[in-house]
Amino acid sequence: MKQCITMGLLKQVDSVTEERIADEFPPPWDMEVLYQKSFQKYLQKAEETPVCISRHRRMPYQIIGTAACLLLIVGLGVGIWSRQSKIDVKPPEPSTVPVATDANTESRETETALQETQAVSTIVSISTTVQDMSEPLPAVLPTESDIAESVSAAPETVPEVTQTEPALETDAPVVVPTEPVTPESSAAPTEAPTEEQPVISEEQINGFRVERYSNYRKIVCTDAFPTPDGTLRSYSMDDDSLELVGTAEVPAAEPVRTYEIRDPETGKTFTVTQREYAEFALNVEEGELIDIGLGRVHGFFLLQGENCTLYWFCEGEGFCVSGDTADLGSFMTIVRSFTPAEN
Amino acid sequence: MKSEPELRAAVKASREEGFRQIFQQYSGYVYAIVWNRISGVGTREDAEECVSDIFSDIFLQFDRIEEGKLQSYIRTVTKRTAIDKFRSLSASPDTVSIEEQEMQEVLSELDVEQEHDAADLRKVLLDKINALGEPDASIVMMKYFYELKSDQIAKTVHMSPAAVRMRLSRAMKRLKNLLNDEK
Repeated sequence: MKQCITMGLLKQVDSVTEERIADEFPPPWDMEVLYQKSFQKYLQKAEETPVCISRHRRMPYQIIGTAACLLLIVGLGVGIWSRQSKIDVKPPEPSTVPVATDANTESRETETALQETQAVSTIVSISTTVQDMSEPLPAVLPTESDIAESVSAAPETVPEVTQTEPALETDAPVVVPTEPVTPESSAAPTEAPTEEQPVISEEQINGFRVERYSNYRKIVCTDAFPTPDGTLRSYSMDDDSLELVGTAEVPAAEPVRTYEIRDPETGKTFTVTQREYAEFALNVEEGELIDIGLGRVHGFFLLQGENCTLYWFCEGEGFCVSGDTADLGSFMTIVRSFTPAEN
Repeated sequence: MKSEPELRAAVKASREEGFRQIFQQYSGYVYAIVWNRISGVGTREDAEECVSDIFSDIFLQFDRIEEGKLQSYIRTVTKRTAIDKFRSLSASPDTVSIEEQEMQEVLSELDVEQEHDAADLRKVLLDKINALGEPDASIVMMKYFYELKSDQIAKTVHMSPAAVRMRLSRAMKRLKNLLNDEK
């Protein structure tokens, strides 16, 4: 992976390198359209900005305005004082509200504490890899200085899964198993718990809604999916570090396609599964880590023990790829390089 | 490359034409800085939006910029605006960009010494990319720094996407050899 590591040095470089790239390798494409946009913005701002304020006319208006404010304040004060002096003081009535029992108080306190804990972070970042970025202008990583620390949920021991699929039906309301599905590409979806559980909290992040229930979370893609038409677009890889070695149509009720992608340096193979969706939702157990901050990619990343699964969506089609957490870099390369095949 | 007095004279003669010359001279620099700051959390459209905000502010404040300070003013406004844009794009504190994580994996846990090593490696890398010559050097930078796809690069260098991919593949092999020779 020497090549990848080397070229990775060009991502978010330090300020000295930044200056050098800006001087020696400025973007070579035409920016006339961008200039027109900038100039129009300038004209707009210039119209909105007052050119000058006549100082000669300011004084009388200032005096009148100040006097009016003072009159208003005085008038309000007088009004409030006169009302207060007329109010009759009534003796306090005995309270008729039942005193809270210990059980009620305890349950309310528990619920409040739970909500407060959840309000801190409903999404658990990948805690093992987040560093505390406290430098205002770090030389290498210009990240935010106050990235919140992840909630400490220790991942529960879950069965290791090498390839998980979001089991769902395109027409019916989406139900997904809370247990990891065995690695069969055409596995029938198993139903989630049928009893309705109340949503404890919801959070909207980057096109996804994360609903928190008592013992699991649900990620819902809030995109408006086009009506499924039974066809899948073909994709290819636009990156030389990974090779698309094969595609296959999986026999299933709805169209499913897999793409085999190989890293020639390590020999590892990854399988990307493509499906059409009318809607998408996935149940995630408490303790499993989710990250819905994939930058430009409309997707999310799920960590289950040493395994990770990356889901992303494009125009009503969803993709997922699974593997070791160490292959995350390859997954992101796949996501960025996956492009509709030229006809 | 025009000097500041020349640019000021151009603006005095015609604001639109003068500002266009300022834009042409500095847009590459500004875009590169902005892209470096926000590429992990934003799109190319976000970068262009930021660049247009920067230049519209420069044009608006132009008359107030001291003589001889235009370049440093542009640098300062660019960096400040790019940082603000980065913060607004990565506003959610509960998420971490995967690209940031990749970067961390590549550079592992940084301390001053490692940062220094990474900066040295980048210097060597840019020297070798320069040594590739044109158009390979531009193609490599458009691919790996500006993160353009092959068809976008093809439009800029007036080649077909397939030719760009072939060229890139060969350039990367040459770059690898140059880096191995360096060791």
